[in-house]
Amino acid sequence: MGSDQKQVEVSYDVSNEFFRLWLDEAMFYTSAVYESADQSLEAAQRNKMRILCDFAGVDATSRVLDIGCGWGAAIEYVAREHASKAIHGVTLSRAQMDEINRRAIPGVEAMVQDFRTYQPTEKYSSIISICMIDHLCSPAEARQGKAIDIYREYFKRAWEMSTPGAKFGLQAILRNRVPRDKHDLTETYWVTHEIFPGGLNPRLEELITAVNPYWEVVEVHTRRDDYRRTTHEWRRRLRANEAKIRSEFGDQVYVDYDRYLSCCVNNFEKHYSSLAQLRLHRIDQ
Amino acid sequence: MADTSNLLALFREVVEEVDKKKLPDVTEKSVIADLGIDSLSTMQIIGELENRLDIMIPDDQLVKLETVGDLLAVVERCAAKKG
Repeated sequence: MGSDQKQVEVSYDVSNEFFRLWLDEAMFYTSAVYESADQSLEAAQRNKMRILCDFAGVDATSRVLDIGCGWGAAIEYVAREHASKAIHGVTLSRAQMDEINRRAIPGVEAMVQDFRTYQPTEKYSSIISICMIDHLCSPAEARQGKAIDIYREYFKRAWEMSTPGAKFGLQAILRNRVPRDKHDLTETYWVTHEIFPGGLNPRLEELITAVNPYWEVVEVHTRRDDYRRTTHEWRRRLRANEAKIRSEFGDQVYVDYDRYLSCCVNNFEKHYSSLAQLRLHRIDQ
Repeated sequence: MADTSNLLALFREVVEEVDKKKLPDVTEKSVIADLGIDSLSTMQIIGELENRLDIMIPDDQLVKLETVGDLLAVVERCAAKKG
């Protein structure tokens, strides 16, 4: 169901050094939120984190869990900006875990672990999850009508791992409309199978349905153009490093990632995809 | 608005244009996959039907489309709402 460990490693384990060449300095591999036309990717990524930490109610007293913590950029932000009491992250990628270990962030604990089987010794008051939900439901499962049940199980697990009164800052890529154009269909199909195998972005209405009965949707923002701008900037940086990438990681890696990022820019431009940020409050029994 | 038999004829015409397939024996009960039409071609066919009928079909109505009749029923509903 969704992306298994091998599929996650296809998506994230090309090489940490490769991703470092075109992501921002903290290595957020998710959309930034821009506040102005001339804002840098780095500043926009910090802005994204400020918003999600606000949604999740993060402060110095919080116990924070990042579900799908990537290379540790979000938990590093929480450690630096809030120095929260506990800051934990789970990822399925061993390469990402290596990077988190390399960073040796004070106060942060991360593990290679499937969140579905993660049993924390103490529950969390703040949950952050950035575009991890996009890995949970496969295209085949969505066609079988299983998406909402799968997403509901994710929200249920987050509820089980949280304390009464907990807050949840969720970010998810959305699928808005399947392309009808042959070229756009082919490219989207290729990205879904070659770059992010096993996963399918949720629809906004699926998320809104699936949070019940565990979380209240307090606030929703869609940020389609922010992700268009983020992927456009990633592609600009990738292209700026073309020679280095071709020589160190091979021609095919460069060609594939240029194709993937071009597909992303196009899909956000044409409303095939979007991005949502949700402020969720735990519904206590 | 086009009735179901007209839609079936339109479907045949669109499949021939998009997928280069002639389907003389297709009926509403025909299973789309059995006609050799894959999911990518199905979406292109839906797109062309939308263009020809000047409609936009919401994606949530495109799940569990098994037969040609399933697809044409969705198209017909959308076209009817357009008036």
